[in-house]
Amino acid sequence: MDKYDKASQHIKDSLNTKNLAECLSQTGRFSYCALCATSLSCLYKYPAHVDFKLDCLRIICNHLRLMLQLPTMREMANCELPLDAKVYVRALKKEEVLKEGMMIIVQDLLLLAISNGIYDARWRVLILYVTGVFDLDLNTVDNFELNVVNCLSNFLPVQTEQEQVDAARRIRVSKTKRFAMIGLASVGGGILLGLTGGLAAPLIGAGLSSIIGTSIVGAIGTVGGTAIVGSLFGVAGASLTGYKMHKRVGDIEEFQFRKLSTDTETGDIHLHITIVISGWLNDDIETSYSQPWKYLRDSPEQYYLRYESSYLLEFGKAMEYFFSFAVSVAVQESLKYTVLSGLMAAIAWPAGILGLASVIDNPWGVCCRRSAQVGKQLAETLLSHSHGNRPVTLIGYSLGARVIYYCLREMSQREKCQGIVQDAILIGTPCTRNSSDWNKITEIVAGRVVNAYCRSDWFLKFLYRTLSMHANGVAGLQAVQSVSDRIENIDLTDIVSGHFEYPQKLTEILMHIGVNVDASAKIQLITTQSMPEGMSEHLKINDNYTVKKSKSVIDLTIIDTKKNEVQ
Amino acid sequence: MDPSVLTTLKILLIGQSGVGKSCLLCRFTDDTFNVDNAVTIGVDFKMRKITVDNNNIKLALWDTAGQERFRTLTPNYYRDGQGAVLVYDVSNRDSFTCLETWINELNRYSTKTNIIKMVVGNKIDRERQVTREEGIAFARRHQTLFIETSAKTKEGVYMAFEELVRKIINTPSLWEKLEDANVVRCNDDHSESEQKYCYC
Repeated sequence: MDKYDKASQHIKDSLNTKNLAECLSQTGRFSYCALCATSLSCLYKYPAHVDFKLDCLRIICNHLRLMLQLPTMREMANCELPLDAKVYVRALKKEEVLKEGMMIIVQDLLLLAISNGIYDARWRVLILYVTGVFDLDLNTVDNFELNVVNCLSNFLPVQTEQEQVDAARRIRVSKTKRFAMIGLASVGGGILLGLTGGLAAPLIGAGLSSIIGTSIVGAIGTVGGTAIVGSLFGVAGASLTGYKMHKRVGDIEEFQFRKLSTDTETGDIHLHITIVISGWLNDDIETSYSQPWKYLRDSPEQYYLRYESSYLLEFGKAMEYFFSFAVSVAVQESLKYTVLSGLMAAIAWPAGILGLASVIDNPWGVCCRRSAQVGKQLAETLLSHSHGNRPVTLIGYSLGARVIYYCLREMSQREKCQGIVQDAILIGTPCTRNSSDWNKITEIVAGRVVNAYCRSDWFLKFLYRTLSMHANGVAGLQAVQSVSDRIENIDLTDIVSGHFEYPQKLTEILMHIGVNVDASAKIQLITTQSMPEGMSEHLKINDNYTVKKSKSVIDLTIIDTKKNEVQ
Repeated sequence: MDPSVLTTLKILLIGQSGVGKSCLLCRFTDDTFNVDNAVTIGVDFKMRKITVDNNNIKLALWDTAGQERFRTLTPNYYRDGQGAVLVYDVSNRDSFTCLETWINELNRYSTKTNIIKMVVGNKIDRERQVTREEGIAFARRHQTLFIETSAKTKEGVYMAFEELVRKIINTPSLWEKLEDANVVRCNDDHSESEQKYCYC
C-alpha cells in the first residue's frame, strides 16, 4: 500500500487535475499508444475482434492526441507477429511523470475504458495484460477499480459549506480515494452512467450533481429518466440477486443468483463480477452451494447460481450412494489406473458397477439436459446485461462447467456477444471436446478459457460409457485441441483422483489454475503440503497474466518457509 | 486475401531526420508533396499496391521516425522487413555520413539476413553536397541498390520502389512460404554473388 500512497501523492503533485496525455512527451504518448496496440495484437487475433480493436485504439489515440497515428496503430494491432512491448515500457520509464511507476498508466487506461459507461471485458483484459507487461501486481487493477467504485458511492450530495469542508477533509485523509477522484473529474460525466448493476440508482443520481452539474441529474430525476437509469444499471437495479427470469428457457424450475459472502472489508460492489456454478449438491441446505467456493477471492462481488436444486440434490445423493456403498475403495483405485493407462476404449466395467448404473444414470441424464438449458438461460441473462455493463468471470465444476459451456455456446451464436465474459474456467466438464465448438467459445471470451481436466476421472468416463463420443471425447477427461492456443488445458490429475473430489479440493484447484483465493487458505494449503509438482509446469505458459498470478503463490511459499524457520 | 495479390512485402524507410522519408512515401502512395511535412511520430504506416513484371504486390510501408528521441523505438519495426530504403539528403553531407550507422543498425536488428537494401539520395532538385559517385561507391561497398530521387519533382520515386520490389521478388527465399524457402535458398546464394545494381 505504501507504493500506492506514494504514487497517488506524486500524481497529485505533478498532475493535479491535468490530463496524463498533457504530461507525457511525444515519445511517451507514442509508446503508450503503441504498447496498447501491440498488446491488442497479442490478445485478439480473431477477425471478429477487428472492430473492437479499432474502437479501442480510437479512444486511446483521441485521448493521447495521436489521431493521425490511428491507421498505423491499427496496423500494429492487426499484425500477426506482435512487436516487442518491452521497448515501449523502457521508453515510458524515461518519462518524468511516470518516475514513480507505471500505475498511472494503468489508472488512465481504466478511466478510458469506462469513459463511455460500458466496461467491456476486452478492455479489462487489455488493462490486465498491460499491467502484466509493466510487471505490476495484478491486484493494482482491482484496487483502482475499487477506488472508482468508492468514489462513486461516496459522492453523496454536498449541500452546505460546512459539509463541503468535511468532505474535503475526508478526502484528504484518504489519498487513494483522491487519486481516483482526480482522474474521475477529468473523464467527466459519461463514466457514471451505466457503470455497474451493483450501484443503487438513486445514489448515482445524487452523486452526479456534485461532479457534472445539474442538467443530467435533472433528466434522471424525472420519470423517464428513472427508466434510463434502470436500463443502464441493469434490470436488477441494486444487485443480481434480485434477478427474475422474464423469459424461461425450456422447463427450468429454478434459476437464481445469490451473493457469495466474502468477509473482505472492501465492500461488495465492484466493476467486475464473478459467477460460480456448482456441479451437484450433497445437502438440502443453502451453504451446500457456496461451501466449495468459500475461499474464492476473484472479485469483491461474487455470486453463485442456484439452479435446479432438487435435481442436483438427487444426483448428489445418487453419487454418494454410488461411492460409499457400492464401489469399494480397491475397485475405485484399480479403475483409476485403468483409466490412466489409456485402456479406456475397451474398458470392461466391473459387474458390480454396471449393476448400479440405474441408480446414477437417470439423475445424471436429467441433470445433463437441465444444465444445458440453464446454460442457455444464463446466456440470456448475460446478454440482457442484467448484471450491468461490466465484465463477468464464470467458474464452474462438473455440471456447473457444463452450464458455462452451454452458456458460452449459446452466446457465441448471438450478436453483440463479445466483451461480456472476461474469463471462463471450466473444471471437469461433462461436454464434448470437439475443438471447433470450443474455438467458437474462445472468440467470445475476452481473457482466459480454461479447461481443467482429470485423466483418472473414471466416474465421468463411466457416465459417458454409453455415448458414442470416442471421436471427440469428453473435455473433463483430456485436453481440448485448440487451433489458436487460446484454450488453456490444465491437468488436475495430480490434485484430484476423480470427479467426486472436485468440490473438496476446489480451493487448491483454483490456486493451481491461477485464480485468486483467500490468503489464509493459501498458507493452509502450502503447510499441509498439497501443492502439486505441476505448479512449475504451469509457469511456463507464456502468458503474463497467468505467470503473474502464479508468482504470488510462490511468494507466499517463501514467506511460509521463513515462518517455519522461526518456529 | 485477394487471390490476385502474389504477396505482401514489408518495406522499411530509414534515415536521418529531415531527409524526406515521409515525403518520399507520400509521393509514392498519394502522389502529393507537402513542403512543411510534420515530423513523424514514432512510425507511420502506409499501404500501396504495385505491379511489377505482371505480379501484383501489396506493399506494407513502415516509415520510421529519424529523430533521435525515437531511436530506441524504431528498431522494433525492422523485424521481418523484406526490403529497406535507406534515405539520405544529397544537399546535406551529414545525412550521408551517418548512413553508415543506420545501415549497421538495420543489420543488427533485421531478422532476415538477406534483406534487400536500397540507398536513396533524395532532394536532387537542390544544390548538391554529395556527388552521385560518392553515393554509388557507398552502395557498392555495402552491396545495396542505389538510386537518386526527388520527392518534390517526382523524379526516380516510383522507379526506386519498383526496383526494390523487383529485387525482392527475384529473391524468393525472402517472401515464399517457409517450407520451400530452404530449397530455393541454395540456388539463390549463387545469384547473390553477382549482385545487380541499378544506376539511374
